Amino acid sequence: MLTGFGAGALLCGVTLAGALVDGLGRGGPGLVLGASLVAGSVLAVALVNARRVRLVLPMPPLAYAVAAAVAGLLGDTGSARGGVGLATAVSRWLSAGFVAMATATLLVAAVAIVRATTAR
Amino acid sequence: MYAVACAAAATVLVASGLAYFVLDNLRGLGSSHAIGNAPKSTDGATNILLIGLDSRKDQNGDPLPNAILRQLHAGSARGVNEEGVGGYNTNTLILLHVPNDGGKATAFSIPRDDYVDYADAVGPQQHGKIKEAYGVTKAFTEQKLMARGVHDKHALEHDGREAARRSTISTVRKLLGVPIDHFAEINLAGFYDLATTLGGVDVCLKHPVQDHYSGADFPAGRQHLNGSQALAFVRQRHGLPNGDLDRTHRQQAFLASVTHKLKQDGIFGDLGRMRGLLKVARKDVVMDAEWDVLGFAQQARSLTGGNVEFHTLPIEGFGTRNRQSVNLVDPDKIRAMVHDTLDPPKQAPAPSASGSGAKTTVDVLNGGGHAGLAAKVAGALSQGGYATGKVANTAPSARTTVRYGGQDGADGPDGADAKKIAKLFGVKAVADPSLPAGTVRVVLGPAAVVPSLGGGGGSAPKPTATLPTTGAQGGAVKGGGIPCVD
Repeated sequence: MLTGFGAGALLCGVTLAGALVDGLGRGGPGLVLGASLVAGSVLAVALVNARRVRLVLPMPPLAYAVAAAVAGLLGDTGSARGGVGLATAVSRWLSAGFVAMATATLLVAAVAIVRATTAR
Repeated sequence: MYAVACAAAATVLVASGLAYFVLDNLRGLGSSHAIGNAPKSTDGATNILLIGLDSRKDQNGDPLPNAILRQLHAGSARGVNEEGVGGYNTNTLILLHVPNDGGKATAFSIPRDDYVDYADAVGPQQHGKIKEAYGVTKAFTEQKLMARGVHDKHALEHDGREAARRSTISTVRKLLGVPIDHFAEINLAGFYDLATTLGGVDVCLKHPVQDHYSGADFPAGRQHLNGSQALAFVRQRHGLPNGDLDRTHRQQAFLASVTHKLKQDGIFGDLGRMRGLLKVARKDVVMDAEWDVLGFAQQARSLTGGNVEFHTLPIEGFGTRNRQSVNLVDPDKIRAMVHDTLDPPKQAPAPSASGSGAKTTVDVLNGGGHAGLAAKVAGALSQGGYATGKVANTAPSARTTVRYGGQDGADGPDGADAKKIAKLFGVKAVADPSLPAGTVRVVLGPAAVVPSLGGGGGSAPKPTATLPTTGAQGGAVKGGGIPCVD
């Protein structure tokens, strides 16, 4: 079983791998990043020590924020110049991850509830 | 620590949801497929046709509410339905060129009365004022559909407008000779709603104006206008020295003020305020389905920074077609000007030939009290090969006078041109040392009429690639502030 730190490292690692694929594909945050986020979140909440499961709850949005910045700066830098460019680019990056973030957070919450209940 | 992480995660999730909602709304704005499969810009720049429709009806063909029509000084719902008030004229046509590198954007206003060949127009009428391509095509399309048994009012309106947009876009594309990548159509209520959502706009007038047709009643100088006043500002054409052409400058000044306001208030970086604009856009604006508006906002840093220059396309003079007063245009010249403005030639164009090697500049001052006459006379003289100088009103003059500058006397080039011009008005040319060489000044009296130069002088101008900076069309209106206009 993983510690809270281990679960975080696993989630961030998988998500960053997805970010690298999207970013190096010159498209900014996209489908691979979203799928990696969901997969990494489920793995992290499934493998973390049952007593540390609540620690995973806030991780998906935070992991996405970091990974989206990486993917965006790697693959979508051209559109992020200047104040307006940066604001619209960040809006686009955030928007692109909403469904994945919401899905990952809901799945983490569901698995956390099940694991916390069954562990008692 | 855990609580901070939860709060940060919740913030990211909420911001993401908001961005998702806004972008989803933006994607939903494009509903028209009228842009078609015509060639698009290949250099990464974007050409957008802005269409301002003088329609008192909404997208479904229903008249705007009476309360709104009253605010707009635009008649009544009964007038709109039973007397056809308003029609479907495209009173504003502006081609906006946004370069890919974030450089200066350039806009070309097309005077609404330009007489042109229509493209993709349905029905027998293939020529007319450019503003009427929309309405003519819509009417014929609806007739055709009704003959085929379509009687649903909303379906007729939708299909009629789509055909009308196609025709307008194709006609502008043909006239200007540039690709059109996207378009946005806004109706009367849209101007009002846009200005209202922005909390009003600041404008600047050179002179006080009062016009009961549009409701314009403004002092000179810089001032803040609410939505209703802003609409009057862009619609006024009565009582202005150059009529419609001055109205075009008003529209340019309005757009410059809007972009200035967007820059000042930082609306593009404010998702909350953007929602208000989105609401207006969903209600009053039609755009093409292929337009990625957010991607465009990133590209259009020049617009949001106010780095935009507005030009008015030149006319060659005035004429009568089908018992209507129209602007006469030279499409080849317009295409050359637009092309050379967007892609300046490496070498300076050769000077236009005219006797002495330089064109005589003619100032036309209206002292006769007939509104718009100076612009018409200037247009006619321009058609005759003279460069247009100052065109304005002046103190009342009992009779028409023609004076010329220069030191070479009546037999010199200036004197010769002045003699020719004076002959058109039935008066004698007089030397005036206070005028610069190469300038002829015509002051119109009450009896003056527009002279006819139909091919007489043999000095018709060859197409040049320089947009006019003086005369009725005026110079460029520059963004980045509040430009002062007539």
